[in-house]
Amino acid sequence: MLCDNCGKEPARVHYKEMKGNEITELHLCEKCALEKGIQLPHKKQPFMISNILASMAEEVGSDIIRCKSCGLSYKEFRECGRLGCADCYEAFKEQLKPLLRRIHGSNIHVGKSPRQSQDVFEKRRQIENLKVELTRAIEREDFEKAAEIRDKIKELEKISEDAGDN
Amino acid sequence: MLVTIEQMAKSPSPWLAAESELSDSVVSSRVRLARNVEGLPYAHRANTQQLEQSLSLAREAIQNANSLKTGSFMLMSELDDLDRQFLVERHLISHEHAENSSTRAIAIGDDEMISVMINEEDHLRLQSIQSGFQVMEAWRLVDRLDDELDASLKYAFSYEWGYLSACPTNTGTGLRASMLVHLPGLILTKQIEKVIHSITQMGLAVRGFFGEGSEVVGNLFQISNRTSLGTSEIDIVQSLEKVVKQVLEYERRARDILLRNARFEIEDKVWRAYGILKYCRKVTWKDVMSYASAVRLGVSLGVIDGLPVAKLNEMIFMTQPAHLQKRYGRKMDPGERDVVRAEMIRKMLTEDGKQASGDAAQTGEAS
Repeated sequence: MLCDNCGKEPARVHYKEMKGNEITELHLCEKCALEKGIQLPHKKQPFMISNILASMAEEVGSDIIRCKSCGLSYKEFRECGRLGCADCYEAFKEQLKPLLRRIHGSNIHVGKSPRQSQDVFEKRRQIENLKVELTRAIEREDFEKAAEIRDKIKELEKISEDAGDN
Repeated sequence: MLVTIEQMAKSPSPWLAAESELSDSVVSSRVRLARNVEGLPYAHRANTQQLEQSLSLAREAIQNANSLKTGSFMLMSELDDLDRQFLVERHLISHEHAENSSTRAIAIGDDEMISVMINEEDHLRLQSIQSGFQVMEAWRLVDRLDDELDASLKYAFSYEWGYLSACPTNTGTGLRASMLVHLPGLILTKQIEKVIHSITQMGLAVRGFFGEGSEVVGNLFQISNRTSLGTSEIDIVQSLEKVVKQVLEYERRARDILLRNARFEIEDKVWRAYGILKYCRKVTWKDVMSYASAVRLGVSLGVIDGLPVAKLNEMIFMTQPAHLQKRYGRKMDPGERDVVRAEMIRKMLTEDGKQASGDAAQTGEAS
């Protein structure tokens, strides 16, 4: 069956509409459905990630990187859209950074953390904020303030390393 | 209390009671969290032994969790096809969870409002479903369950990227919040595409009755957040509330227009649908979804009196294929199901000797 809208691509999205007393069925290809803002039924991959992965596929060198813990290669990840284990996030860190940003519009977690990690997480967040302040202080050439912030960061980093990261 | 599927099949899920705010337009609110156990590969990459390990760790944590202590725990491998289909229809497990069932399990709280899928895409998928516009309450319950499980499990978590999920689209909070919303007015006034488009623009997703990848039936749309990293749980939930309120406002305006310009057409449509449901002798579930949608619109608009929204919820959930077969305790082919379904609906609509009625003055005017 071809798409009701463009008549070129195979219809993949089947959508029902009520018009008057009639229920009309719409059969659309993925492209036309996307244009109409209808979510696509993808069995294997959530469509968003497959699209994004396809659009950033040209990192040939990355494909051979493998996660040391589970053995998943970046190529396999690109094909199935799923990571193999938590360590994959470390193994593919440089590739995932832009990917996460594309998916979520951010790549820094905000929100809940596991109980055991809470203190460390809170300190990390403070450090991140202080780093932003530090850059600003340097930009306005307030070196006294910058030195003060740098000391604070050092202190916090020391505590967080002692407490967390096992 | 240990609940069996046979017992569950006797009555609709408690979250279909439709006793909360906006229940006529919002069927349900749902929040789920994706969580994984540290040190074990994700389900699709794990061997049987590792899957059994995550299963037993999750099971132990669930037994210690107050919210689930008294609920039921079912291994998917111990359920037959019909039972698993029943749980899908009940919105307790995903299609995927029902398909590949070894070393998978489901834990269900007493009132079915909280549950955990084990070894689906992630080791744990925590869920809370509430009736009507109560997504904040759903978050509150699932947050509490998460704390309880956190006390016995060590979750895979990174300071930078939050809870690490099998799919990067869930990483961060691991949270997906959604509401199942009835939008016949926007369909009839042909504004639905525009509204769906603007919802998508606001960073949310619109899906069908069974969530991701499912078809829209009965004019019921599932609206949910699409991103999970960089926004706190409360902010995600609140922005969903805001968008759904806005969509409901558009829906209300569409209904005003319909009543102003096509009152008799709408009343006719509503009562015809009611008539078919009440007197038909054979009906498919998808047709029930469409007719029940028209009747639900009639109840919202005050065209039909004395028919509780809960009854319509019961009608669309309890007449699904597996529900029907579990309730009657035997397998039936589709043709037989259609006959039994019509009979069940007829009983529902004549129960208590109370029948729906229209506004007398207006009915008089119409004739």
